[in-house]
Amino acid sequence: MDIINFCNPAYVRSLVVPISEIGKSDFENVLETLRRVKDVRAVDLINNPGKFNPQAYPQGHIYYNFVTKDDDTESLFLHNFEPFRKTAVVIGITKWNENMNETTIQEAKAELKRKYPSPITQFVLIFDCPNDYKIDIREVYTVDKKTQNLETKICDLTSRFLSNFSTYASAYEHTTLRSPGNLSGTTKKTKNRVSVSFDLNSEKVKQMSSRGRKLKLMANFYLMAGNLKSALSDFCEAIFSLKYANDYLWLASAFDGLAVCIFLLASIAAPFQLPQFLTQILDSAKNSVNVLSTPIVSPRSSLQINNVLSTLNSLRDETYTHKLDVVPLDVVEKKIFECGILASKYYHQAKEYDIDYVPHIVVTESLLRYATLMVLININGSLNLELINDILYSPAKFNNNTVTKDFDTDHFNKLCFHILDVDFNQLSQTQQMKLFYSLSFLFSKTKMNMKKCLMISSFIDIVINNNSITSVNNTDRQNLTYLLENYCESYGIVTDEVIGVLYPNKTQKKILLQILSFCRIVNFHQGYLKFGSLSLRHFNSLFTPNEQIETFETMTAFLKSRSESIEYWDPNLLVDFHFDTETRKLVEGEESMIKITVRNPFMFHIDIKHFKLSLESNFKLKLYTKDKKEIDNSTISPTISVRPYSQLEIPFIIVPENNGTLIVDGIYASVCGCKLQKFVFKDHEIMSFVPKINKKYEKFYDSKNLSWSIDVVNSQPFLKILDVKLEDKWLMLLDGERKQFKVTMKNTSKTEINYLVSMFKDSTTELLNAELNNKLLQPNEIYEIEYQLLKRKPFKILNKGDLVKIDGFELFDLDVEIIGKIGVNEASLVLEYSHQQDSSTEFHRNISIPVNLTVYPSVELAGCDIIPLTSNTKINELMKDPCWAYLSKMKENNHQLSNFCLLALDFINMWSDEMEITLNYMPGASDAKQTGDVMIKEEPLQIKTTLQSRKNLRMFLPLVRMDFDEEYLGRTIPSLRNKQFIVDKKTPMAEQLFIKHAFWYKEEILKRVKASWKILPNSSNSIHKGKYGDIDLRGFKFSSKMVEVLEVEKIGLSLKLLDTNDSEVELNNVSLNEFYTIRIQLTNRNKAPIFGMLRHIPVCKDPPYTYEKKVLINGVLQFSVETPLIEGESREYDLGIVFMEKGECEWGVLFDELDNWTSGSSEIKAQHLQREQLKFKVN
Amino acid sequence: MSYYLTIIGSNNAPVYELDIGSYKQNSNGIFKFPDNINNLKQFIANSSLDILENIQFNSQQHYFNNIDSFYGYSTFIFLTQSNIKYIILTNSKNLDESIRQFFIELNELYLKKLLSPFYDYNSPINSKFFTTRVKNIAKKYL
Repeated sequence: MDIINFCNPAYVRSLVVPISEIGKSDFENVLETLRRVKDVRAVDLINNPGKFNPQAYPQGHIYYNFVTKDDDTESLFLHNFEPFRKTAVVIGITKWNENMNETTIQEAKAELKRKYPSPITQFVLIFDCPNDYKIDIREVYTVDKKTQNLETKICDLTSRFLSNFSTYASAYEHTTLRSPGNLSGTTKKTKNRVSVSFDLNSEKVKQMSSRGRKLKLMANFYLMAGNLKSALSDFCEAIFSLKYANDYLWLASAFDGLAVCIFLLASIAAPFQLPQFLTQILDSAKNSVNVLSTPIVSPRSSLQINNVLSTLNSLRDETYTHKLDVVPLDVVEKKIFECGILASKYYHQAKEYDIDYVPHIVVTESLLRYATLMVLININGSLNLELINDILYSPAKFNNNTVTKDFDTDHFNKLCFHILDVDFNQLSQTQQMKLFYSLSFLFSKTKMNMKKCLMISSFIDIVINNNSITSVNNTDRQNLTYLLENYCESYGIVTDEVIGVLYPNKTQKKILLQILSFCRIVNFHQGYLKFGSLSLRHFNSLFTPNEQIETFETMTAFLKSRSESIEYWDPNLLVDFHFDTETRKLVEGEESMIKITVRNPFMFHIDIKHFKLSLESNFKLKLYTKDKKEIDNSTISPTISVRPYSQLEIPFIIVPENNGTLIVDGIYASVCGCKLQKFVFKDHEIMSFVPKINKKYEKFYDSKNLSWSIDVVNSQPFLKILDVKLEDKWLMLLDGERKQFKVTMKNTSKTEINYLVSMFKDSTTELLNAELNNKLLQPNEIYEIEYQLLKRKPFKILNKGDLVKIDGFELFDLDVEIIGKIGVNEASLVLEYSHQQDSSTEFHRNISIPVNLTVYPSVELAGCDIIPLTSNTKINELMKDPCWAYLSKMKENNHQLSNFCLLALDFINMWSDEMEITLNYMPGASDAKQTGDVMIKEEPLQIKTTLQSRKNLRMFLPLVRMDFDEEYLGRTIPSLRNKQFIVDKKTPMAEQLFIKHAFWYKEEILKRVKASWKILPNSSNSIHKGKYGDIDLRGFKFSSKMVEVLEVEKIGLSLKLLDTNDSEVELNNVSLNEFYTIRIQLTNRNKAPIFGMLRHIPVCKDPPYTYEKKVLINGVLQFSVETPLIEGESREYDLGIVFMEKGECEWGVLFDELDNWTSGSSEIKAQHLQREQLKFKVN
Repeated sequence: MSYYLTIIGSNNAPVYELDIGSYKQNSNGIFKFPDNINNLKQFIANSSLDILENIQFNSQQHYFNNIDSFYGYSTFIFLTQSNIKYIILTNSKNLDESIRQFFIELNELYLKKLLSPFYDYNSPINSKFFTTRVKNIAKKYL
């Protein structure tokens, strides 16, 4: 379809029709060739005697307008008014073939004539004729294969046409011309016809009008025949007559014709001059510019007919020799638009006064022609020859420029208002389409996108309603796509972007639905698919279920019929992806599960085919469906159907074929017959608040593609248990008992095991773990639980050294020792193993060896105590016990018994057999460094005893009292789980200190003391004889008294009674009235100096208990130590006494340790007593 | 007599639309547009924006009466300071002043809507309450 051309009134409308079978493309080629020779120069034509003798105006041109649609019937009523609307020529096109002869050609020509009787001339053009073929039938022309003689033939044809045209025109010489009626053929009654003139009678008016009309018609004929000179003069004369008669409709049409005539004259640079009266009228057009918006009555020009007539005659005069200048183009432009304004004005007046029926098509086309010219001139800058040629010869070839700023938009809009007024609906659909098409061209040039959209929308509506176009060709497709995309973009539907529309609205939906039905009707599959997928992508929320289904079904049908494919419309198909493994690692060559979640947000089923993973690197892997069909290699790919409005999780099995990091960044799939494409998962972060100003909605989205990565480790071994060599399936153990057994295992893979770690679990593990969460536990209690968990494991692997490396397919034994632990009824040995190439890809596999067992109590520690020994302790001869033997040995070695204490352990035998209990004391087991001034060399000691069933027993063990410094004892209780130390603020400091002291003393004792039980081998008829095990001593608990007994005081106070020779006196035999000395030895075992007061405390046993009068004292009982005792210093203080009375007496000493003694304070920090007071008997 | 009202956002996307039937001059309040106009009403309303764009920066007025017409249907536009356009498409004649009054009250209503923290500038208005209020104003003036 072409836009309406300004020169339309000068074109000879020629219908081109095929008359024999000729291919569509051939016909299009022929048409194209013809359009190249549409311009024929009059000088090339053969002279003929008729009205339109080309020799009369040899500079003239005849322009053909080759059309393929015969719409004569539509414009029939206008043929007398505007003859260029009539199809003047019909050209039958055929191709040469061998069977052609004169008869067949004659028949064809006759047929053409019969079919198209109304055109002035019918021609037959035979293409592809052999060069030597001659035919001698009138109005039949042959064109050779290379169409070299086409121009000649067209000239011949034109000469012939002109001669026929002359005949046709002469028929109008004597007819009365009527104004066009409406389509029904009735002319309107001229009811309120304005009186035309005051000074002329109606007869004269009629005469002038009739003459004017005839002249105008002839002028139109001349215009078509290329005789511009005659056309100009006839138009001028017609305008004069018609203006005189106020025949507005014809007058307007005459101005239209005149404008074209001037335009054509300018195109051949022919000089011309307009008569004076016409120049005056045209000048008056300036005053009539507003005619379009507000109709005004035109000023009636009073013309002097005679003057005018003489001027006109001079125009017509053949011998008019005065040399005229070529009119400059800007004047031409001005004149043309003045004609245009006048034409519009008179059309408007004709309508206003209701004189004649004004065919809307005539007015609109006229307005449109001027509007087009106006736009083109503005785009081009000015009217020049180049533009004129463009308009004449290649109307489609306009550049992409749009109008400049100085374009008179207002005027242009006014023109367009009048085109699209109420009468527009009366036009035929073809005419409307043509107008819409031309208008949309103009609006696009004037940058009025919305107006253009309205035109396109109306245009599409007509196509849809008419169902007239059924197919489009390739060029049309491209243009259509461009047009429709443009249409969409004007309404904010971005066709290319994925994030297209922020708020899809109903207008946009309406547009898309309209485009879809248009594409369906014209069978524009490509367009339907494009806009269909766009609709489903962004507008599925607005589309009703039925619209969705209909769109989808049509798309599916179109997809099937096409070879090329489109992208699937929902880019967010992939919703989730995950590797279904517990270890978060895959193993080379081994199967593992993945799960892909896809969505279907539409109202129809979608089918997904050709699944494939998209991997970031070149990673080899195989993909299987759940039933182990390989996807990559099989020809028939499984189809997965997803129900409407749902999500589906699809399981797959993958087998990686090499190791490294596997990164999946999406999936490939073909959905609903669309092409195979990649789907990624986009992580949209939408702002919670859209900024109220300065919006660019693309910025709201911050999306990134997610990818899922997993490490694939090199191939790994696989262990299997072949045999567990245990006598019973259910083991029975006594608490602390050990039992050994073998487990036979095999590495069933070819990969060697170079990493093997054992872990143990038993049924108490969970309970203890739960207990650990108790927040109220003290650190020593936590330590005990942790010890049970981590240090007392139920199993022990004995041959660990052999298991450093296990080759592929190797068979091996595991020597396991199981230890009975009370409360355990189920235990398992867990082996963690792998093949490690480097530490970066850590992967372990577990195998668990479960053992069922029942543990019975054996011998338990029921209680404990620490008993002090004093230097006075006597060891009886009868005490043969190894404990006492040991002590007496120590005493013999000159060690004071007060340096020892007794560890008393109460055992209870819970088992039914008599047990032998062995207590081992190993002083060397501890490496803790003792401070202290007393160095005792201890020896190992073993004490054995038997204990009958259900009986208990107290066993004693001598211990040297321990002397650790504060720093050692004040250490934090360690956490075996390496938990962070938390400062306890609830427990009082003293208690915390005690707990720490008790803990470290206990650790020390446990290091040195071990206990075990054994069922005697000679025990009577017991099946358990010979069993042995350890006794758990960790139940040992300290009381504060026990700590006091065990530890060596930090400030040592010892008393001695000396005689005058400084030798120690036997305390049971102290004499009266003799001089004795009480010597106090004060030792500072602290790390800091001490200072304080020493006090003697003498007490007599017999009443009255006071020592006065019984003892004479040489000195004072209370005194300061005078100078501080530094670390480790020992000082002696003597006091002379004489006993004056017999009796028993005790002598003690107290040391008041003072705080802040440097600042002179006498505040007592602590009081220290001597460990053993002196007791003596005075005889 | 019938009116088609639409509010067009500053990005030229529709924010709100309503078909209004008049109660004046013996009309029964039923919206009546011929089918072809009814189908095209959004496009006709939008196409007047081209003309508005040409003149809006050369003029200080808010109200543009009869700015455009198509098939005999005229377009009236009220332009707010924030470049929101209220457009009325109608075949009624000589109602310039009532339409202007209508627009002024509609503007007040729209501003109230804009003050709502739950409403985003240029986003579609779906409130039933808003529609009721618009209908009330329409009843008063159109």
